[in-house]
Amino acid sequence: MARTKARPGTERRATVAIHGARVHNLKNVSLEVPRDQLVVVTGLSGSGKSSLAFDTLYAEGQRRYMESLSTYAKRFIAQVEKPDVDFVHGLSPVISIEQKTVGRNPRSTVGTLTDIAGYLNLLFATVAEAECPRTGEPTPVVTTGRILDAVMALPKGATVELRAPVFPYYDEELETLFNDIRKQGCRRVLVDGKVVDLSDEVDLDESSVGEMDVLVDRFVIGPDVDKQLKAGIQHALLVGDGLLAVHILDGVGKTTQARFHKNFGSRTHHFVYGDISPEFFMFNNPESACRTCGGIGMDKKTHPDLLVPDTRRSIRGGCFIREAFTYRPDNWWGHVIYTLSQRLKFDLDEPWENLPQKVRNTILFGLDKPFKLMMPPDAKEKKERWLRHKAQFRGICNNIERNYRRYRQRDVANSGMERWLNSVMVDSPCQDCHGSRLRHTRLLFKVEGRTVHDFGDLHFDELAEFMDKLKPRGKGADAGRQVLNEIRSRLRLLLGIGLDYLTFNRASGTLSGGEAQRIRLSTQIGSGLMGMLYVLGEPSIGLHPKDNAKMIATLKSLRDLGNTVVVVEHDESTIRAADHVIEMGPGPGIHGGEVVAQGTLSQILKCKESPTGQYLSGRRTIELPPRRGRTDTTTARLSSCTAPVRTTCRISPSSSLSAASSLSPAPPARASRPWSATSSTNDCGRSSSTPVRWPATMTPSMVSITSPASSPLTSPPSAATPAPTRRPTSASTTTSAPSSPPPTRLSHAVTNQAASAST
Amino acid sequence: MVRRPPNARQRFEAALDQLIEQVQQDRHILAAILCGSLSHDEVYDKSDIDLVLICTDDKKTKGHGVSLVVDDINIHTSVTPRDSFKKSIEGASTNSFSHSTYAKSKLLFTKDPTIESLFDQLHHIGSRDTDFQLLRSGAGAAYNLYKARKWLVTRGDLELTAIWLIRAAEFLAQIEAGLAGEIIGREVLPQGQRLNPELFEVIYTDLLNRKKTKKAVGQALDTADAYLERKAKRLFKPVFEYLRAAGDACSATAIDHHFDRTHDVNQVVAGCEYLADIGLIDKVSTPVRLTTRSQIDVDELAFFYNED
Repeated sequence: MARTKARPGTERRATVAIHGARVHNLKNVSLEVPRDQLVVVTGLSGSGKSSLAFDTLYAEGQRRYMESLSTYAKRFIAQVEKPDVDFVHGLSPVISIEQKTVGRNPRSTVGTLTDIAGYLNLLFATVAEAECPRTGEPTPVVTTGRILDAVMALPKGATVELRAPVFPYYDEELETLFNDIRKQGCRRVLVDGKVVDLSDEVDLDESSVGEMDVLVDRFVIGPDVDKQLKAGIQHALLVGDGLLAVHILDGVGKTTQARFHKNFGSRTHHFVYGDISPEFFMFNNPESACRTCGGIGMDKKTHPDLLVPDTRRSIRGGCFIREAFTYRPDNWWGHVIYTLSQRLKFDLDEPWENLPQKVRNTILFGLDKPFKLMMPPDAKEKKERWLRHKAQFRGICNNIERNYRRYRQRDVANSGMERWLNSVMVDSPCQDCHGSRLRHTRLLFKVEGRTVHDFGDLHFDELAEFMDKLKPRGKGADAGRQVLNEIRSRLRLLLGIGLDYLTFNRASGTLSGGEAQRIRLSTQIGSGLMGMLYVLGEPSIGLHPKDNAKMIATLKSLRDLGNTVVVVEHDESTIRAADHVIEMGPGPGIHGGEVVAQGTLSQILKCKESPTGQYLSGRRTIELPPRRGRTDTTTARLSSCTAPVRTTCRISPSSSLSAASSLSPAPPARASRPWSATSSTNDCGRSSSTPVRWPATMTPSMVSITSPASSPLTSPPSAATPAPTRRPTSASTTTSAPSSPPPTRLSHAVTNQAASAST
Repeated sequence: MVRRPPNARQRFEAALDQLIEQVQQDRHILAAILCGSLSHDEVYDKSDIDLVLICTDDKKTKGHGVSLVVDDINIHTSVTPRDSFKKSIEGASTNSFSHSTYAKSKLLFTKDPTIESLFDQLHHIGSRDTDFQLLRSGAGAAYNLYKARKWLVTRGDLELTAIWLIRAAEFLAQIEAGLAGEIIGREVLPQGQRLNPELFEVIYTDLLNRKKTKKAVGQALDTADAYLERKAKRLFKPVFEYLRAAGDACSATAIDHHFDRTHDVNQVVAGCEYLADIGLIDKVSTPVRLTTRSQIDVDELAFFYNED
């Protein structure tokens, strides 16, 4: 490619010049940072690395960019404070990629974060093959225009009826479905071949209802009917959630009718899918999201352990958390619980843990038979009229779930309500969509036998392999190939950065800061921008040494695109890979804030003032202690964790560990990946048969005390992979986990293998 | 021979014919429906004509209203795309305002045979729709009678009591029409008078025509109350069914949410209070917290029904 020669006097600056930086502890620092190079800012903690890179270089770049915006745009952006620096010359548009976890929005996934979910949706809208929801037969996907053309080609005078198939809602009565149909402006439904008028009492056995088709509209084919027919088709597609059938009622001979259906629609039911767009597969689109979970993929269930945190308390003594139930003899529930205590012969003052299981189950999950209410003796108000009738009790858990369903049906988010629900319920995969977040009709579209959710469930390396073999067919093949290329190129970036173990369905909130940072990095590379200044904060943190080389290669590719990459880093490999190293110091806080040394790696290695240079060159070393601390491996165990596994475990006082332990699995080492669980209680939205991969996302679950004999330990992953020394100050690592957790409760035993830090 | 000037109806019909002749030439107009007094009632000089013109479905044509004039007669016309018309016919609950308007209308012409079959559907009164119409009317009557009783007992204000009683009479007339399987019109009181002359003589005509004494107003109120109580099991059938299915105490919030969400019926709780007052269901209480941050339980009105 021919390079344009710069005009004399207009050569680009080769450096970014910082003069008189006094941010935080920086002591009037002046230096020149070379442009278009990989620059590592290093130094001990608190020496002013981040003050220089983020609070000076990035802050000034961002401020200047903001200043260049229009006055109107600036109204919507918070003012950025000018950093305490005399001047900075040679700045480019600057982008900071820090180690920050992504927000906890449950609608955000790795797929949406990388935009690849959008491409996958586009791929499915373009090349997916659809199935009939009833028979599984291939069903054509066409546009409204094509349906219109096909119907308008029928002889004049033919009467056609547009039908839209509907399906019962999960965990709802048919009445709710019928009301929705009515609200959509339809009144007649063909239920198992019989026309039902929804304005009448519908007497159906809900359990035996088979096929339901809404009779949306009828048309007599003629020259002027096209506009009405088009509106009718769109209406039918809306009612049928993208699916419709055209039935010829009259005015056409049998042969013509047979020919019409042969060329149009699925074989048995004559269904066609119409106007399928990428939004059809988007779980964040209300029209496509699972009706039960609204596209979250998770549902909530009450959990007895949450309801009764202290089993030593009695019902009268407040064993239930206040949000769930408080015994008051004067209200209805008080009467009900008192009556139950009399009928089932248990004492309201008996500790919960001493109550028989049958009694506990009745209180939590209710009683089928109605019973006559009794008045609690301690009731202040004597409500005799309550005693006249038989009452029924559905149980505390069922009452909470009923409130939860009502809240979800209202479709209005309420943080207070969410807090309340979180205090009495736990997340579990949605029973309707099984974690796919989508309505069932979306999962009838497949590419090479896989649904869009299946694609999102594949690990990136598996997906890349699958995508490489994929050959789009049919009418959308050309467009599909372009989409495929986009997905492949983005996947390659993610693989190149060591994220091959992630999936697109993984919730963003479960990503570590490092993973989120690398994803952002890959999207930046994918954008192909040049002339930018990227400032990164410790990208090697959280990264297995095995993947460090990939990260460095990514940083270099970002540089090679024509960008300046400034990395705040302690990692030896990154420092060695840098084109230019800036070392801050000499001490932390007020003792730092100066540039101790800067230059190429060879210059740093030779520099006597640079501690980094001296350690890297081997002139200085950290002596290993002659004797390490010992730990009794038979007794000291991590036990009784009650926190969610993804967060820090609370170690019970009974097992204080005397040595530091750490978990350091290499993500790609799947055979030895710890915390692999087949329990259905995980909240990843996977099916129970799919193992959860590191780091597992789990519901509040317990880690129980497990003896070595009862927990066969897998080999530490560090043993399965090369044991690289990450940094001179890194800890040696060992990990263990049981191969199969107990069926009822996710249980992990993490045994201290006397790992000691060599710091 | 002297020609008599045409009466109002003839004038209106002539004006309408003139307009329809023009409208039929517009290929975008598929059908014309005559609504209002001219279609099913009497007209006089100051009347107007209500007309619905069904047009072709076109992105550029939205439903709109336009006031036309022919021979100095105002014709208030609604231009509605066919698809919207179809949705309003099938989606509207029987005896809702939209349904009643169309059900009493007259199809003047149509170029689309399917509009005629849609029109035929209007005369079918669905039993399920009737249940919910009766529920609405029952809850409305209960509320108005409660108010009427309140003014009689607390203030002894006969006029105010009579006004609330006449408001209740309108709901009672809807109940009579609904139970008789008739389409409920906007002017429903004459329908009620025809269907149940004894009742409406006491609670409506006598109340308007005769002197309002405490005895007469009290008797009217008692008569209306007794009527409502007699019909309560039928009128509030969906409430009984809901509470029976719940089998448990249902809070007022839960009841309102259910009927509002699934049937577009509001203020069912007023009806539940009435049912509890007459002893058909039980009034109970369930704990509730007033705000999402509250720590104190207070008792919320709840209802319970058991057939025993």
